[in-house]
Amino acid sequence: MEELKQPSFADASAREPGTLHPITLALEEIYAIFAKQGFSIATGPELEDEWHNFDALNVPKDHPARDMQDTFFIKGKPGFVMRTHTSPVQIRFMKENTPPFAIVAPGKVFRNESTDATHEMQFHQIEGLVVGENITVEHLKGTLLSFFKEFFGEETEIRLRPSFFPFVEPGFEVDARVGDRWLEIGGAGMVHPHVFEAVGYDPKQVTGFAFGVGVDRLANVTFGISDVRLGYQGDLRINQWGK
Amino acid sequence: MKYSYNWLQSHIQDPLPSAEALKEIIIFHAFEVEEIETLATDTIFDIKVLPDRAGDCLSHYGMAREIAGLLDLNFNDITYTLPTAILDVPIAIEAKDCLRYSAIRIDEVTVGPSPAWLVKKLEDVGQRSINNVVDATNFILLDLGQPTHAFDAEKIKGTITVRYAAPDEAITTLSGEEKVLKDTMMVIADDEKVLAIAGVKGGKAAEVTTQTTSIILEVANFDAANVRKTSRGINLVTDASKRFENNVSPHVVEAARSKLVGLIAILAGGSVSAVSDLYPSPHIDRAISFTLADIQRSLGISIGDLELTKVMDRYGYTYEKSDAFYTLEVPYWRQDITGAHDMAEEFGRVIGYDTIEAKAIPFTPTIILNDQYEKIRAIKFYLKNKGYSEVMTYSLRKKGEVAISYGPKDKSYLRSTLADGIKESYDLNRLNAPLLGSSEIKEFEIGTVFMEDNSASVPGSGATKEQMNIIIADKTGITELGVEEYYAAHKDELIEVDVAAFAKKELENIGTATFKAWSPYPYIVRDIAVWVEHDSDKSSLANIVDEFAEKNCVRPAVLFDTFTKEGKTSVAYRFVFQSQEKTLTDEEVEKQFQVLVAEIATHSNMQIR
Repeated sequence: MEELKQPSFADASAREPGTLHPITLALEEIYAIFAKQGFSIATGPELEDEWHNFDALNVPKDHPARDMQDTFFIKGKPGFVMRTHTSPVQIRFMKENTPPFAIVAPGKVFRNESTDATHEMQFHQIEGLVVGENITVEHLKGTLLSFFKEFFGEETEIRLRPSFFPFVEPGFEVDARVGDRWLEIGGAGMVHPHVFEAVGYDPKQVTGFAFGVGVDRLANVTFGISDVRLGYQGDLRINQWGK
Repeated sequence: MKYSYNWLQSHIQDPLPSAEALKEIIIFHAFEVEEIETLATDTIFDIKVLPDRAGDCLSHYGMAREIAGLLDLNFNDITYTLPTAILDVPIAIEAKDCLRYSAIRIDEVTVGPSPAWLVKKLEDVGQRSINNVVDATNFILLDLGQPTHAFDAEKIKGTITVRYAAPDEAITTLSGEEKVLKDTMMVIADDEKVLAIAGVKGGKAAEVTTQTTSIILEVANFDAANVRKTSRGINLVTDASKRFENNVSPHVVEAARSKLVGLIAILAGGSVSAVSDLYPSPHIDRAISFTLADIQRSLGISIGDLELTKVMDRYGYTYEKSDAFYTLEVPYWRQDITGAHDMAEEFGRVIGYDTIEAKAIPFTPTIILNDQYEKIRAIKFYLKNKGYSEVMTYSLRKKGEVAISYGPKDKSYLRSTLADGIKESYDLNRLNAPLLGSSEIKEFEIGTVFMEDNSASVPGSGATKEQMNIIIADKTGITELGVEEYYAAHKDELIEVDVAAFAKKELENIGTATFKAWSPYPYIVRDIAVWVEHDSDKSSLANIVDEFAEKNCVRPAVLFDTFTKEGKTSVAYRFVFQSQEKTLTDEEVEKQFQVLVAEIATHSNMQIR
């Protein structure tokens, strides 16, 4: 493609604001909704140790997720991985804080997988965690329902289906009905007693729920982007929605 | 796994609901149904069994037991008699990862094609028919979830031993592949050779063929982790390895061998001449205790004893109640149940999560601001306002200080700088500047970089550190800094940024915006400059070009130059042409563009320069 001669612009672009990445916009929208419900932001490292990423989350030593095939391990630094989910942030936050609390933890996560339109080696998740006395599935449903109503619109419904994640029991798959379609939106569940034990909480005293939502998926649903890989090419055209 | 509706029904006395109704029940009370296929006389369900239930539900019998429990139907429990014989099959267990090994010798069998009903049954759920004996073993696997194997007895010399492989010991599998094993992997061997990779795949050495007249059936159980490691290690996942790695109970051996022997008698004749069963550490039953309050504490709903016991009765569980405490004898097939939290799950999914109300959390949380996150938000809005656009690039790069294991070749390091990513991004965006409607590319990225930590006591100890960086690229070059450093340097301006107001405005802009997938084909640019005299002419021209661009171009026309000379104003617009289907030729674009030129020419108050 030929390089264009720069025309003598009456520098319109100096006055034009720039654009933000769809992931940033989705995170802003998510954060705005959770902030209204009193949630705080928690963050953690992307290069994580196996204890925070797996052990403390009740993922057994021989779990398939811990294979080289699925996780990026750090060369020459045994016991360290690129975090495979934002859940280790739960562990870090719980170790340093006392319930009750309500947090969301946004961040980049990594999976060693072959990429296609719906799979990427890096993507963004937002994790939610609420711990206190007498926190139940009712509160999980209430929190997610009011979130999705604000995110997708007042008529949005949600439903929980049985699922399994080692760090929760019961575990759920969360679907949201947007228009006349049910979309698989994320995973959720009641914090597993082993997770509370790992951070020194007494599971007889507190209960809690956690949920994890793929931010790329929400951003892509919002903007109608069909390929998850487009977001990480450094291509500014991804910011050009609605134009 | 694929499940046949008729096959499931064969394990349940009461009639199942329609396939469509059954699908909904499975989805909302047990597992995801990925696909449902309607055949002439049957319906096939492709069900994604959850990992914690793969030990009991990766079989028609197990799935039927789950469905019968969910729907309160009468389940046909298997009644079986163990085959007996005076003689033993010589077997030995040397590997501790073999939990049980049962062998049955049957003589005078006739190996040949399977009857049509069996061929169809297997084919409907995606299995190819091989011969009557092999088909019988495959049937048992799909029916009961117990992998079994048939050896040609004449090809076995001496004792069948379950042992670890010698280093680099090799085997040719039934499918003709040679696999080299490690000493952590278990094999089934006779006195001379390896017969099978334990729990994964049989070998050629003792293959059953149409010449076979005596067979030895293996009905065994192997440690889940060991089978999984072997299967991954030699890159061979089989129906058998999938069952074993999910902890199928050693108890199932008993039902499986009785049903298998019975089936082979029907299909291939013959008679049992020897039987052995080694079960070094038989399964010990466990019990858990819990209260109604435990379940309420998790689900939030209030439940009574009757509702709970009804659910447990439906699944045929054995339990006792003393004071508030229930003691449940954990069924052999439900080793995933370890405590009260599992009973909350069990009860909740059976009654249905839709019966649980949605409620707001019962306390008012205190918001704690996350310092770095707020700084990053302020920087993003600040830069956006100054005309900079945000990009995201890959954390994994070709170069860096910290390497990852088993990553893709061109992405085997964690980035130690954002510079490489943003340079590529900047070049790409500069080429696309007309598509972006920008005269000049100004961009930034905020992301984590990873470095060796040289401050660590021992250099080369593998210590690493990570930091959140910001990089800014424009025509003056690139600048990369730590986010904290950048914030400190621009503190006075950043502190003034009203993040909440910016965020609100940004979100209002999103509205019902949609992204349009970009074209992979090159674009072509055309410019036009027009003399106009009055402001009203200028706005009619604007209307003409806007309408044209909307119809013919990939983005709105950009007004890129205006100047006034001798009372006339020159207005210059840029148009970008691009097709979603093909590479446009100059001629094609010129033809379109001339429509605009002709249109402008009809206006006497506009002169094309």
